[in-house]
Amino acid sequence: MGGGDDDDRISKLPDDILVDVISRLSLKEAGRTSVLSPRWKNVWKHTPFLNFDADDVLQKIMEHHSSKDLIKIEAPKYVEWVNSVVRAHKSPTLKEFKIRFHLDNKYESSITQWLEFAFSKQVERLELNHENFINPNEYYCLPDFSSFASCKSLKALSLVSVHVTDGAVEFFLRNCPLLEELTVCCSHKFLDLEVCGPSLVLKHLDLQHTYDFRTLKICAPFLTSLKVQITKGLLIENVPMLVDLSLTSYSVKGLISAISCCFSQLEVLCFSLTSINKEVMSEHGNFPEMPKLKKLFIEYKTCGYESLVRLMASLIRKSPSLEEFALQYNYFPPKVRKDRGVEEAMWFPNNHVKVFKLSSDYSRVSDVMVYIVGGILGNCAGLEKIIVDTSDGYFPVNDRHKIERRNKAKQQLEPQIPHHIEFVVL
Amino acid sequence: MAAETGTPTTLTLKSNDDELFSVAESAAILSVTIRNMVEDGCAGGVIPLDNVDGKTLASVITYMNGISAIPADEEKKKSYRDKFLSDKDFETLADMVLAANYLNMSCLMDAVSAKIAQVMEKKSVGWVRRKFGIENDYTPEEEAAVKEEHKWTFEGVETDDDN
Repeated sequence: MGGGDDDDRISKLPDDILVDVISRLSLKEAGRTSVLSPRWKNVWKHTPFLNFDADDVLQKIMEHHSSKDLIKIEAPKYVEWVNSVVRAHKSPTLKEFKIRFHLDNKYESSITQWLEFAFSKQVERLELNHENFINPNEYYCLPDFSSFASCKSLKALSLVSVHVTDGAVEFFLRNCPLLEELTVCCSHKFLDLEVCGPSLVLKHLDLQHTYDFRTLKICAPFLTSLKVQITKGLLIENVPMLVDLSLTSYSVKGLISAISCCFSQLEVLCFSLTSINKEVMSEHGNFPEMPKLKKLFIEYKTCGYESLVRLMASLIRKSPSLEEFALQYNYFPPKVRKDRGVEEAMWFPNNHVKVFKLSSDYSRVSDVMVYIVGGILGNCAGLEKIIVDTSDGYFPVNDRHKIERRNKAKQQLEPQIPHHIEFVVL
Repeated sequence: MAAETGTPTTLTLKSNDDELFSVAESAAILSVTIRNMVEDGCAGGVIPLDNVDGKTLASVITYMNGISAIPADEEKKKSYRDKFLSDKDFETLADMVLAANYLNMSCLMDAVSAKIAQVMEKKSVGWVRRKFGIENDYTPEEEAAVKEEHKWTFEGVETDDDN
């Protein structure tokens, strides 16, 4: 685009085009255009996208030695920011309204006003994410939802670290005929939830980190992706479109019985195992065939190398079309016996697997990684790429440690990887 | 229609400076404005487009032909759009976005708006004013008041004005 232009062509464009342009900028950048000239003063106020993105502050809070103290300083500023934008905003409708900050129930009246504001403008995508530094006892509670009568336009709703009752979820399911995406994470108010109904158009349902169900029934004809924790009372039926499933489970048995109706149609399975018991070992062989599965992701949040190998082998054996396999493994033992039984279990020939990704916190090194990569290389003749992600782990790390970890992983694994396979360390 | 006769139907479009252009109907109906005319049966003779000049219309037709030749592959279409817009100066982009708006071609409008927004991204107020020749007719007092009212827009912001 050429240099200065004397006739100020851009300011002569009609309002709706200027609004369309600045709606693609971040909210702060859009707001800053008000300073350009009087012509621009009110343009940003018509943007239908209000995404209160404070990633830079959230990052500082994460890295701060006393996160809670910093939140006490930053949260009121965030609330004032949202309030001032809400007061100034002029567009009659909203495509998006996103709140992402550590906010507890102290700000209840402001948050409720924001929700009323968003619903009064027929918001299409609403997110209320109160992040993870808030004590569940101080979560904001979604108020009497009948006041949100004008939620007919809602297409996506995401509530994270907010108390939501089953009644509220069922209200939205009943009253939002366009609702395609629903996320409710870290809520502790559920008891018996039913996501059912012939008129549901729901495509994506995410109920992660929401554990307190007595019963959860899912019966949604258009559902394509589901993320859920397995509990005793999970019942899934009539999900003919479901292809992408993420589950957290304490047991393999629970997993198999809960999703027996949809194994054969799955294309993506993300399976997070959080504890191990004797039952697990004997159940591995019972996985049904997954003929369409292309991507498998195992998040192994427990110890037991032998058990992991058996789980991995039995899942890959049942997935003849598998193309991508990813493993996240952090609780590994520093030393592992080269046990014959385990080596024999490492048998799952599969020529379709092209990509293997290993995510692990490389703060320490274990031979386990060499065995796992060796096992994959030995079984997957068509392998093209190995990715090792060393950035994984619970605590944030500084740049020097990041480089150290990458180097450790490289030194440890590179010697065994043939040249024709691309090796990437993240 | 093309499917019935076996030969592609051609439409004739007329710009506001009286240039005539032939374009395949299948490409032209990317414009909802033109599609509605075709569906209403008013596309028989010459279709006058009173808000688009010949130079811009020629460019829009190049785009219509290019994008409709690509099968349903969103990534390929996107890379065609990027390439198509890559050498256009702001004058041309402004003409295109107005034409796209008038012709109701959301894919072209989206692409041009995104391209203009991209230029403004992460830039200071002064830089944007210079780049687009925006005349600042605020008095210093007014500007200070607007800045004060929009203080939040300057918090935690780093601009990159070098390129």
